[in-house]
Amino acid sequence: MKCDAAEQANAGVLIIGIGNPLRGDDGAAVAVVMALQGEADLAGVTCVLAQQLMPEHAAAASEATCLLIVDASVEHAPGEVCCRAVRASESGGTLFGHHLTPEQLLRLTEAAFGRVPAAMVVSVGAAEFALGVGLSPAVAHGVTEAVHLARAQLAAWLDDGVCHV
Amino acid sequence: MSATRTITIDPVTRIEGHGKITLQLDEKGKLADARFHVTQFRGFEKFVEGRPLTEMPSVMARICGICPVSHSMASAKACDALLAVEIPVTAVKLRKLMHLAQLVQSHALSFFHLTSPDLLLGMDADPAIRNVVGLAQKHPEMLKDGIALRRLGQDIIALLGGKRIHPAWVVAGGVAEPLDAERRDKIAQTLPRAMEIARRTIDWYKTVVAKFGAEIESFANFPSMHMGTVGPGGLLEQYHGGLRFVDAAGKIVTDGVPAADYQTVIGEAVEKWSYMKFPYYLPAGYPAGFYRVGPLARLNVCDRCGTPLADRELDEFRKHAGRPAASSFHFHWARLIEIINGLEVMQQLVDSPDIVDTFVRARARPNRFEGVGIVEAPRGTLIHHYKIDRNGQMTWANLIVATGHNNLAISRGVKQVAERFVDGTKLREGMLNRCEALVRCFDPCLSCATHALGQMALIVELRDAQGQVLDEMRRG
Repeated sequence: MKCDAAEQANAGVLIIGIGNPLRGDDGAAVAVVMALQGEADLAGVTCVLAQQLMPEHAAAASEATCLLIVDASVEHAPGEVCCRAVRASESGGTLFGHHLTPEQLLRLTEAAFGRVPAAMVVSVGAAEFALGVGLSPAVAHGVTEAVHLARAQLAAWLDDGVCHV
Repeated sequence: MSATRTITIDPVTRIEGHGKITLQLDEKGKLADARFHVTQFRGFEKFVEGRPLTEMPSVMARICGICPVSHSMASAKACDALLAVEIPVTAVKLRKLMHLAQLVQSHALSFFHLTSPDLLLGMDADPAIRNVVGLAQKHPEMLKDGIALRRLGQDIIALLGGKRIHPAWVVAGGVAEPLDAERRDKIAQTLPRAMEIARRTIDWYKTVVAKFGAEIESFANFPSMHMGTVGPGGLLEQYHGGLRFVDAAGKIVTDGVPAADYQTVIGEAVEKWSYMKFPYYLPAGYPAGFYRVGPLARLNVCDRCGTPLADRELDEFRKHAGRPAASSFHFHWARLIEIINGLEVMQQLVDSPDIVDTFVRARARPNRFEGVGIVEAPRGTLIHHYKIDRNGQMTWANLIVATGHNNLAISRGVKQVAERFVDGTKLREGMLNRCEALVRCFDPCLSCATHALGQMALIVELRDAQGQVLDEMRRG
């Protein structure tokens, strides 16, 4: 029963973890999402793992009410975890190929599907991207913190009624 | 003092990977030469040495995140040859099903996400809006169709192999798991909608293609040979056919070459200025024996597609573009025809009763020291050639990928486009985009051709012979 209730509450939540676990710390987001996937109270959350954001993710984003994007970041110190709200970008920005920033993804979602979810990005500072599996110690610690932060954000959305579909 | 100048477009955008174009101008500002450089480096042939052959389909799939299925297919076929086994009929059908799903999603990516911004927003449009986001704003239905078609292809790959990218399902001797009736039915349910999108798109394309007369005329529009695999009766065959070459007049000059004999017809040259190799038709020598591969070449070499809707479209295409179609702008049209053919063949495959048979893998120890696997990847002919020792460990590998085959044609095409559109006195976005758009016709995958990671901003420089920057454009 508890699981059914959780599934219903979480039905509008989409989590996208970006990264490549074969590239060291780039697998940080994958580790975060895998940890979240195992949580009973997060039943019903849709989790997607991807190496980059692509136009296809707009379709899934348009069907969600809450979107949490988790990614490794070179803009923060290794293991440092940050959370920021993200909105559809004002301009398209420079697009070289078919991969997108979170802002561009939301803009694409809005333009193509007419709606966007509430969205946050959780970033885990990372530094080692050489070929190989496993996270550096600082980033592994950051993953644990990122899982807590992500859970707190999901709880906040649920409390605010944002996630209910 | 020499007034010779060079224009560099680096990187070329909206392609898979990173390349660079240099346009060498003479003292009058007219084009003297053009080159398409590949600035990435791949080491796959070297670092697989010593690994067991059974790992190859999964390892080689890592060459590319766009067409991993094609690499695992070619690799598995090379391994089949090393085992000297004939794989079960159902395994062939299942491999074909995944291979065509990959073709559909890859062609959809090329057409909808990478090319349609040029077609719908204009070659001269501001690059800030000439992309998928701009497309979503101006033509949301087109983008939604692209997303849906690509997703359908990816979902079929995931249903068969367990995940969308790098599934480890294609193995030496067949496939790892059979298809059950439930997943077969799910696949079958997706095909009608995909066909609806494909037909709507090709009908639309035929209404706009005439607007691109200047591009059709100058986008690698020259006589050349074409190469691709064909099946029995000369039918379009992307999974398992013999190599066929046609000349510039469409005459078959070589036919039915089995994979193991590819080196009797294909040579490989190298140049100092690119990490990509330059394959050529061996009997004609280098560089005279340059040829094109990919969807356009496949339609030029085959007699028929072998499915009703695609054959109807092929007739119309040939009426409009000629046979062989010489302009590389027609790669786009050819992709749409191949999507239709792919969906028709996929329907036939899921309708066949033995598609759910459980006998899907032939098991054997290595029985040969050398094996070759060839498939038609979305971008063209893909060759994996392996040698092993007595323990089944890799001692040597050679890969020839689609973008490599097209290397010479792309460089010559860039020169033709630049002659038509580039004014050497001042850089303009539209003329440079046309150089890039020509490259995009071939949908090159430089990650496959070399393999590297990273991204650079676009910088275009106009320099004189002394290296002084006369003009510059930047993106990003």
